[in-house]
Amino acid sequence: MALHRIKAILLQEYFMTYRSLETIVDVFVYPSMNIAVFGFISKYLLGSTNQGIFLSLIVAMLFWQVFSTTQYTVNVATLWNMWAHNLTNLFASPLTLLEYFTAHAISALIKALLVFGIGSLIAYFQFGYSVIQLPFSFLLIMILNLYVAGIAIGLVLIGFIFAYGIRIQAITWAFISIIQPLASVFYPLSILPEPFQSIARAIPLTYMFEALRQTIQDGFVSPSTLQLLVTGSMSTSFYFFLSLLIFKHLIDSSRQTGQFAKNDL
Amino acid sequence: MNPLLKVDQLAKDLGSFRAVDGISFEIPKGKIVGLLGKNGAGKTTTIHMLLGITTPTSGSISYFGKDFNSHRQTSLQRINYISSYNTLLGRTTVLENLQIYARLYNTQGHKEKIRELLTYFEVGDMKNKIYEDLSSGQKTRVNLVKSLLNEPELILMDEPTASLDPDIADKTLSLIENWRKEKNISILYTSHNMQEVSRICDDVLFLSNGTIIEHDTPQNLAKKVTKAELILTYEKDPKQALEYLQGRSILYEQRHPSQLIIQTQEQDIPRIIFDISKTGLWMNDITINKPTLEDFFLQISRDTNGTP
Repeated sequence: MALHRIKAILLQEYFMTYRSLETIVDVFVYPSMNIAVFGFISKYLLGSTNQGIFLSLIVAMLFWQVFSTTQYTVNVATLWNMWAHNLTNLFASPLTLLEYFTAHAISALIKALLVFGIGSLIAYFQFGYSVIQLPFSFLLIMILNLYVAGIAIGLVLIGFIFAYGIRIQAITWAFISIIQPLASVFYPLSILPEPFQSIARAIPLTYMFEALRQTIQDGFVSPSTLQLLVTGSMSTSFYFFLSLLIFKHLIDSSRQTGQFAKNDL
Repeated sequence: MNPLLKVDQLAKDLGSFRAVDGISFEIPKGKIVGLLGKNGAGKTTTIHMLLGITTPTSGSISYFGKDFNSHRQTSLQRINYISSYNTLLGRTTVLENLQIYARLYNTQGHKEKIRELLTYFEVGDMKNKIYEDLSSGQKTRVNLVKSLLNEPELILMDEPTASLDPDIADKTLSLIENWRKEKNISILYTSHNMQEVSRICDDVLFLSNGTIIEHDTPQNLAKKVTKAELILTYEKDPKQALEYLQGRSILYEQRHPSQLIIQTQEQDIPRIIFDISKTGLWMNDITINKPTLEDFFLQISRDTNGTP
């Protein structure tokens, strides 16, 4: 891996972000508005009757942005290059896929932390909740898991686009809206109908958001919450490595079939 | 001396279709080699394999004497690519785009290098313009700047002037020719424009159905088309000339009463002119249309299509 090539892609990311109003809106405006609007709706519905659930909803929305921003960044950065027919130019240089996605992973982390920071300020000033009330290690584990899960999903989705063409690009937006209700982001797992609970248990995010609700409710990380965090982290790691294998398989297939080059024509 | 690029028995199957069928060729230093063929002949697939973007089914590629597969990054550091089908990021400025590539190629003194190249290709005043706002000709010249940032020894050019007006294409081609003379770089050049290929290529590889069916200089390939066209224009009805042509069973066409269009072997033209002039007819004009690379292209295309 060459640092100068990673820096080059980070520079590209920087230029693409500040030159694209769509990206600024998608990455910074929508998430902030989501947190604010979600908070207001929750406050309207729950008032002061159930402060615990109210906070769980806002904080869940806040953490969800870490996952969605990461996945969005990994996917849309590559789509921009495909839309611009620039991908072949990039990979005709000594740039490797590892360097390219390392740069996007760094960019995704920066954006996810910025969105989380902005969202935290909204939560604090508008709804009086400070995320630093959560134990620091818990906060770190949550962000790390959601970030890694976002990378994993992003890689698999972009792998499918490499392999099957830009015509399936809608999966980058659709997938997130499918996974959100299944992963019990805003409600306990027990709310889901039984067949969906089984699916939800196979998703690492489910354990992380269950752990989040418990921690907000308890005010500390209980042994059962810790158990959820461990299961969630192990599951995230497993899916991350699986996503690397799937991504490699899809990229190889894309290069074999010639689709990799066709995506850019 | 090792060739810059050596391709050996390169093949690519796309499903059940064999897009490239065991081609072999070399590009020596300082040469421009044209890769010609109809649409679907395998030109772009070959270029994509040469860039490592499409995986070959079999065969080998080596750059600078080293296997491409095991020396991908060092090879790509010394070559570059330009295509009319691949552009730079539309929303960012020319300078921003070039800065990205200068960093990718680790170009030393990249600010000076970018300025020098933009000036050479006469787009220096475009550097702060948004790339998608440029004209096709300006974009092509900016893409050329991108393709020279790493001072490549070999450039793969896939129809670089395809979307340009003839005058802009001509100017772009002149800039490429001058740069090649100054820097002694090698180029693999694909194009549908036979005049362009005849003008700048030292050698031409003719690709048909994934195989190289001819490899020669543009001039020698044109000579393989033996038929030429002789157009004779007279002051009045060329009766004696017609008798001469009919007597020797030479094919001709009379589109105008005073004009004869004669289809014949190129080497027979002097004799025909000499014989007809002896009849005492006064010729107003003589035009000889010698075979060109385009004629060869059309002949090969007809042959491979099975049409007469």
